[in-house]
Amino acid sequence: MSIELGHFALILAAAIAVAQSLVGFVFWRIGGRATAFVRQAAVLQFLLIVVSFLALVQAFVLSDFSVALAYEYSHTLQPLLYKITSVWGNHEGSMLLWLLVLALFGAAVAVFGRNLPGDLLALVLGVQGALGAAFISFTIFTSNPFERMNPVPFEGRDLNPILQDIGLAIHPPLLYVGYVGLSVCFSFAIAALVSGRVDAAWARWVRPWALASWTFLTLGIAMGSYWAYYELGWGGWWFWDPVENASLMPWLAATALLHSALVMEKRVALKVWTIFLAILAFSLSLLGMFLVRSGILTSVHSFAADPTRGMVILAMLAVAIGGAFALFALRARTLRVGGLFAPISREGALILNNLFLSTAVVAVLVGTLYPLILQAAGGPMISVGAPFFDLTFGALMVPLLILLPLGPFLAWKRGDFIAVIQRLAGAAGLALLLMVVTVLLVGGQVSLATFGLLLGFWVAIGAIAEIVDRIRLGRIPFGQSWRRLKGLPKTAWSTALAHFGVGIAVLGIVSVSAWETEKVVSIGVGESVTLSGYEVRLNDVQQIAGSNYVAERVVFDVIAPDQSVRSAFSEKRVYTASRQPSTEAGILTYGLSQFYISLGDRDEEGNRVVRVWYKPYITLMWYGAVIMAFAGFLSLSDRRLRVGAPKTARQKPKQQPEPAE
Amino acid sequence: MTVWLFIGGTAVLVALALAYASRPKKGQTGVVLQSLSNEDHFKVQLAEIEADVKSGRLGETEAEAARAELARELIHHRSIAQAGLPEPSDRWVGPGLALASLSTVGLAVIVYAFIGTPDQPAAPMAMRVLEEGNPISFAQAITRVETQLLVTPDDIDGWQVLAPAYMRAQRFSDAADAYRRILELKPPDADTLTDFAQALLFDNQGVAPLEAIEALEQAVEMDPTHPRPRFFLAGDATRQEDWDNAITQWNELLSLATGDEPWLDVAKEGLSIAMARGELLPQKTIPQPSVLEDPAQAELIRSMVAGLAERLEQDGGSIEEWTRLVRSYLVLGETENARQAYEKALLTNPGAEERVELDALARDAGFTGENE
Amino acid sequence: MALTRKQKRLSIIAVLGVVLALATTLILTALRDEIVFFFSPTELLERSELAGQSVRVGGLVLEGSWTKEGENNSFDVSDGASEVTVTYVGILPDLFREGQGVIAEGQLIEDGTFDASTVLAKHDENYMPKEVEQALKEQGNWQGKYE
Repeated sequence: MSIELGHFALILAAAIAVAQSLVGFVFWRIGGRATAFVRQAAVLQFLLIVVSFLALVQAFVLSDFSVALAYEYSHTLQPLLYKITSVWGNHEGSMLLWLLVLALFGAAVAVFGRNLPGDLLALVLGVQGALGAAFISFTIFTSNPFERMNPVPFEGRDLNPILQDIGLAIHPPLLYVGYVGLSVCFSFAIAALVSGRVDAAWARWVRPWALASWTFLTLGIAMGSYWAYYELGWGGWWFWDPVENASLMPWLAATALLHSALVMEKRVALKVWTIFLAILAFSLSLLGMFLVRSGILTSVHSFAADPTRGMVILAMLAVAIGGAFALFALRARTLRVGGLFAPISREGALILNNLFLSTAVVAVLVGTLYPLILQAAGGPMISVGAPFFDLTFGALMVPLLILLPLGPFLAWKRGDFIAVIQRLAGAAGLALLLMVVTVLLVGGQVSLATFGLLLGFWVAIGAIAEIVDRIRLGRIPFGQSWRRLKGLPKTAWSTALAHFGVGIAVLGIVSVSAWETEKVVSIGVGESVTLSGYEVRLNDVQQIAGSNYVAERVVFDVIAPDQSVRSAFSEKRVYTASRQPSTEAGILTYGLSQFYISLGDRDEEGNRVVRVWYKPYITLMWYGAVIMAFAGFLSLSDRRLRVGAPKTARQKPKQQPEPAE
Repeated sequence: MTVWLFIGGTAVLVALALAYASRPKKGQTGVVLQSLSNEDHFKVQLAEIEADVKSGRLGETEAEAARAELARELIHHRSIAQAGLPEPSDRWVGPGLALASLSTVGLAVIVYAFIGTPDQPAAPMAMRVLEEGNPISFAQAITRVETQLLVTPDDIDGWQVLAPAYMRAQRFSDAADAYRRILELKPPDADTLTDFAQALLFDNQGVAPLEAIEALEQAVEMDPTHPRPRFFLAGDATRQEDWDNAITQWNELLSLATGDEPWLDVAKEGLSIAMARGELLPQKTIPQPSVLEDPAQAELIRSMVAGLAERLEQDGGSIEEWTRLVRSYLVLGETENARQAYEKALLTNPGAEERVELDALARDAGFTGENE
Repeated sequence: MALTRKQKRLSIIAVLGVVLALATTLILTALRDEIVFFFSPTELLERSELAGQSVRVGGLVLEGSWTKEGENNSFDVSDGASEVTVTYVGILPDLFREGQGVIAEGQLIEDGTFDASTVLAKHDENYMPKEVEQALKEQGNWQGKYE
C-alpha cells in the first residue's frame, strides 16, 4: 500500500509543480498571497517526493518484487546498504533521487528566501516549478519507478556487481546535489531576466547556491574518480569518458560562475556574463543528463539505452536551454552596465579566469560531442580520447594556474602588477626551490613534469602567501600578525584554502602521471615481483563467500623498501544471482603514495596474471579536491547568516563588537 | 479500499495546506510566509554591506561603491514604479489560487486512477516466504551450502544436498559439476550416474553429450534393472533416429515395468515411434529387436554375432562386415564389445573414406571421442 | 596607466580575442591530430597504410581463437567477413568472452596482427559497444541477437 501511496505522492508532486509554475509566472508581480502559494507549493512538493522516495526505498529494503524496479535491480541476499543504494543504481530510481534533490533545493529557496523580494521569489520558484513539472512528468510517463509486477517473482535479478560498492552510496547523491543545485542559479537568472532586477543583491543571493553546488560537484567528481580508480581495476583515475566530461563541464562553468558572481557582487560589473554563466552551468548539467540517459553513447556510467527517453530529454533540453538563451538574448541588452575597472585589476584577473575556464568548457564540449556529431552526419566513426583532452585542456589550464596566485593580490578596480610580482617573489622562489629539491630526490631530469611540479608548488605556496601577506607576517610585530590572523574573515580563509587545494591536486596529478611505474607478470603462489623497490609476493589463494557472491581471494604480501610487510587482498568475485564476475583490486597506501594490485585469470599451471602499479603521491589529487570542498563549506558557513532572515543581518553589529570570533 | 482512503486523505491535506498558505492576510499574521517589499529589500542590503564592512570582508572604498550602486538601483526601481507601469490587479488572485489548489489535487487523483494499480497489495520478501512456507529463501539456502562447500570441498553430504537444489533452480551446469564432484568423492552408483547424465542432458538443451551417454551406459552396466538410465538412453537413441538402438532400449525398459510407472506411457509411445520409423529403413541384416524378447532367439542371434566376430578377427573382412558387427553388438547392448570391434576395424581398414558409415555409427555410440 | 574608458575596454577585448583565437587553433589542431578512428577488421585489412597509426578495431571475438600464455593474450576479432588477430599484454576485462563484442585500441603492425594497448569489453550482460554494433550491421552479420 505504501508503494501505491508513493506513486500517488509522485503524481501529486507533479501536479503541484505545474500549479507552482503557473501561479509563479501569472501572478509574480502581485507577490503577497501568490508568493505565499508558490512557497507552500515548493515545500509540499518536496514533502511528497520524500514520501515517494521512502516508499521506493522501503520496497527495495523489504525486497518487494511486486515493484518491477526492485525485481530488476536488487536481490534478497544483498546487504542492507546495497539494497538501499540499488534504489538509484538504475535509470528510474536515480531519476527519483534527482527529483528529490531538485525539490529539496526548491523547498530550501522557499524557506531561506524570506528576505527576497516577493516578486523575484515567485519567479524563481515558478521556474523551479516548471523544471519540476517537466522532469517529474518525464519520470512518471517514461520511466515510472513504481511499475508493478504480477505475478510477483520469487527472487530479484540483482544489481550490476560493479555498482555493489560503497561508492554508489556516496557518488551519485553528491553529484546530484551539485548538478541540481545549479538549477537554483538558473532559476535566479531567468527571474532576473524577466523582472529586470539584476544588481549586486542578485549576485549575493546566487553565490551561496553556486557555492554549494560547486562544493558538492567537487566532492562528487573526486569521489567518482576514486571509485572508478579502485573498482574498475584499470589503475586509471580519469578516463575522459563522455560521462566524466559531462560532470566536469558543469564544474568548470560553476567555478567560473563563482568567480564572476564575486565581481558582480563586489563591483556590480560582468552582469550579463554572470547571468549567461548561470544559465550555461545548468544547461551543461542537463546536457550531461541527456548524454547519460539517452543511450546515445556507451560508457561505464550510462544507463540502459532507450531512444524514446533520449528524444524526450532532448526535447526538454531544447525547450529549457533554448528558451533560457532566447530570453537572455532578448533581455540582456536592457541590463545596465556596472562599475568600471582597469585591465590590470582583480576584476581583470577574474575575467581571465573566466575566459580560460569557459574556453576549457568549450574544448571538453567539442571533444565530447564531436564523435556524436560526426557520426550523425554520416562521417567516420571516431573516438576522441585522452590525447585530445590532455593537449587542449592541459594547455588551457597552464596559463590559468600561472595567473591564479596573482589574482587575490590584485586590488579591485586598479591593480599594481609590479607590486604584486614583488610581493609574490618569495613564493615563486620557494616554489622553484621545492621543485628543484623534489627533482633531485626523485633523480629525474628536466621535463614537462618538472614544470608541472613547479606549477603545483607555485599555486599552493601562492595561496599560503596570500594569508601571510594579509596578516603582514614579518612586517609588523608577530603579536599583531597573530591578532590579524585570528581576525581574518572566513571568506579569506576559504579563498586561500580552495586555491591551496588546487595546487595540491595539481601536484598529485603531475607526480602520478610522470613517475608512475607498472608491471604485468604471471606468478604462482610463493613467487614474487619487484616494482619500484616494493616486493610483492603472492602468498595464498583462499576461497571466501560474501553475502551474495563467492570469491577467490588472493593474498599478497607487499614488502616495502623499509622492510615493513603488509598484506593486500585482490578478489575475483562471482555474484550468485547474476553469475556476473567482478574483480576487486588490492590497494595499499604508503603515506601519500599507493601500491595497486589488479588480478587476472589463472592459467593452466595455476599461475596468476598480476598487474601492479606504484603510484607516487596519487592521493594528493583527491586530498586536493577534499581541501577545495572544505573551503567551500567554510565559505558557506560564513554565508549562512546572509541567506537567512533580515533580522540576523540587523543584529550582526551587536553580536560582533570586534572582528575577533 | 484503504489505499483510496490514504490517497484521499493526502489529497485533502495538500489542498488545505495550499489554500491555507494563500489565504488573504490581515496585518502581520503568518510571519513564516511573509516576504519582503521592495523598499525593505534595499534596507536589508544596506545592512548587509555595513555588516560586511564591520567584519572586514569589504574595504571602505568598496563599501562606498556598493552603497552608491545600491542607491542607483533604488532610484532605478522607483523610476520604473513611477513610469506608470499599471499596478497589477489582484482581482483574479483569490479565485486563481483557489482554482490552482483544487485542480492540482483533482488532476493528480485522475492521473493516478489511470496509471496506478491501487488493488495490488505489497509483497515484501517476508510475506512471500511465509506463503511459501520456507523459513529461508531457496536461493539463500543454496548460497549457504555453496559457501560451506568452499571451506569444506570434500563434504560429500553437502554436494548431495546442493546438486538436486541446483537442478530445482534450473542451474544445470552447476548441477552437473556438483554430481561430477560427488562421483569423484565416492564410488559411482547407478542413481548418481543417471542424475549426472540428466544434468548434462538438461544443460545441453536435451541433447546428451558423450559424457552423459557414457555415464548412462555405466549405470546400466552396474544395475541392469534400473529403469532411469535406460529411459534416457532410449530417449536419446530415438532423438538421434537410431531406430534399432531405440527399439532395443525401449523394449529393455518396458521389460522392467511392473505396470504403474509414470514413464510407462512415454516408453510405449517411444517404442511405437521407433518401430514405425525403423521399419522404413532397409537394415534387414540387423536382427529385429523384438526378437530379442524371445530368449531362445536372442541366444541364437548372439551365437551368430559371435561367429561373425570370430571370422572377422581371424580372416579379416570387408568394411561392411565390420560395420554390421559393431552395429549388432550395439543392438545387443554389448557396448564394450562394440567398441573393441570398432577399434579392430580401424586397424584393418585404415582408409577413412570407406568407413563413413562405420565412423558415423561409432560417433553416435560415442567411441570416437576417446580416440581423438 | 591613464587609459580612457574606451581604451580600457579595447585592451580587455584585445586580450580576450587573442586568447580565444589561440584556443580555437589549439582545439582544431588537436581535433585533426589526436582523434582515433574506428575500423571493422575488413576495413582495417583493406587499408594497410594505417600500420603504425593508433586506431580502434572492433567486432566479435572468434570462438576458440583466444590463447593466453601468462600475461600474453592473443585472439581473433571478426566482423563476419574477415578477422584480424589481436595481441594484448595484460589483464583482459572481466567480461571478455569468446563470441562477444570487443573493442581494441592500438596499432596494426607489419605482420598484419594488431597490437592492442587497451581492450574494452562490454561491462554488463546487455551491453554491446555501439561501434561494434555498427560494424556488424555493415557486414550483414547482425541477427538482432543483442537487441
